[in-house]
Amino acid sequence: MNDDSQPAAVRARSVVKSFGSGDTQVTVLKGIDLDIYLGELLLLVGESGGGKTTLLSAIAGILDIDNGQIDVLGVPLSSLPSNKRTRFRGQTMGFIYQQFNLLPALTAAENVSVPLLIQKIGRAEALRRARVMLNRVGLGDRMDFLPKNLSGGQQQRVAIARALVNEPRLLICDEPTAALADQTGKRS
Amino acid sequence: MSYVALKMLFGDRAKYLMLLCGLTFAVMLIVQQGSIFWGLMMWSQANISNLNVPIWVTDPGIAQVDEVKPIASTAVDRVRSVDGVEWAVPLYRGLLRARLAKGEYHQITLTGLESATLIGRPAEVLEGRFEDILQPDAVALDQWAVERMGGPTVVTVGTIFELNDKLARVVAIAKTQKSFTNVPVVYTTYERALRYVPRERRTLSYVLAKARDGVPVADVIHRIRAETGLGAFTEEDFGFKTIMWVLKNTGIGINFGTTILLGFIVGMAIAGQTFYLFTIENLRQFGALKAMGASTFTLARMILLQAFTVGLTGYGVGVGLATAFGFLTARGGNLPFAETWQLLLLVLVALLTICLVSASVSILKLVRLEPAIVFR
Repeated sequence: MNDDSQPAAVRARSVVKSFGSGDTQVTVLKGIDLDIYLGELLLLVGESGGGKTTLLSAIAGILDIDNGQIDVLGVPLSSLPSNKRTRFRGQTMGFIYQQFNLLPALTAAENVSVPLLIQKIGRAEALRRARVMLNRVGLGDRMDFLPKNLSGGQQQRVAIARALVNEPRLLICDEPTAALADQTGKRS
Repeated sequence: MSYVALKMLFGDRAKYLMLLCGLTFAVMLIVQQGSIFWGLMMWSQANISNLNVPIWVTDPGIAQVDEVKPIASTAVDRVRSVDGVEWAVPLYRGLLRARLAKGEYHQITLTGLESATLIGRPAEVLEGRFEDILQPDAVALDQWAVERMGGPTVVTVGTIFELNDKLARVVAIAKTQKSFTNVPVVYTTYERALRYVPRERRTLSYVLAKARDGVPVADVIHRIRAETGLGAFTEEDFGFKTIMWVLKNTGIGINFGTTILLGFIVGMAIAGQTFYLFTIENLRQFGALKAMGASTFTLARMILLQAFTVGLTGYGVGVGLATAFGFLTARGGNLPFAETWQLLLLVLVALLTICLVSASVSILKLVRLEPAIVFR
């Protein structure tokens, strides 16, 4: 799948990340080198506590690393100031979390519109695009439902729609189909 | 993102109502206690405000309105001769005992007004005609005197009682603000008041005066002091002097001040802590927004919007409840309750400050928040 003539979408070199200090310090990422290319689907598989989520967080720029370098789409993400990193993340990345992280007070359509609102797109347009995306994930009849009124699988589909609504160049997913029924998971 | 912030705030009704209740309770506590305190202070200077005259002249060493220090009767003419004084009239004020027909005694404050003008008379009369105090042996009472002396079945227009073994006939009942000591006030003319009281070398309690139109009151007061050697005060200054005396020389200042201060601190602590906890409980949601690209500035604006929205709502409801309390309990004037705009402004500023502080603490927490929290 890798095409060495293309620059890597994600390029990680000697990435180190530890948690805790002293006797309780645990080094989770021990000099990770990784290249991920555009169009490539990369799966990280490993035992619980193995550092999969930590690596994802580091690549997404939402967790500071102790050492090493991470470039995303040619941008040295790990050395960017926090505010620029946040803006870059909002413009180029989509996230699907294991725990959905939907805002409980917002309807499904409003939740999906949030990444667009963050990008300062008007509420009406953001909602319109959110509704289109919800139709695509098969939740056209659940747009005005609050998360608490949706099943686990439906909540995860709302989260998937939210991750895709601003057409991100990089999609970062942490066990994205864990809560989906088998059939829906395959379609997603 | 303001829409999202407000939906987050109102969306969880239980949490929002808890937050609103905390803030409402805090505001209500402070406004109610503050209004009662200030109402008490208003009562303490009611013997000044009930007369509604702009300048009070008396002994320069006077501490408060009820501590009368008689001055020479020539003081009236001396004040009248000061440039800028439009008029000056004598006022008698002193404590006396009234004896009712059944032999019951009551301490009263005898107030003698100049007969030609009746300057210092109460503005509102509930029964009878106040001008009738010009008739022989006639006096007027305030409504608190009626209450203290046995109620309207015992004391009413036409009732006769004794003041220092001399006859007094009630011709009018006036409406006044209740005073701190709530000693019944008996109004009569200045000349008759002097006949009621035992003979003393000096009998003039106060000279009431007014500056001519266009002449600054402060200038006239300065001239009265300089030319007569007497103490001269505006109504407001004399009222404030009396309030300060009450605060210093009674337990009210310390006791009520402590209650209000504690109410203020507790109320504000409740308000601040409740909002801080609300933000902390939503930290994961803010982390998700941060991960999706919301800047710290955007999130800070959202938190400030939430803080001020709930703060102002709590302020409105709290003030409304405190006002309703005041309206229902202090309607007849039996409970001191003075809800001033200064108090409301002070509470508003304090509440917004505490909202700002608790929002700032929450924002600091957000600044340090690693959005990776959403993956855990």
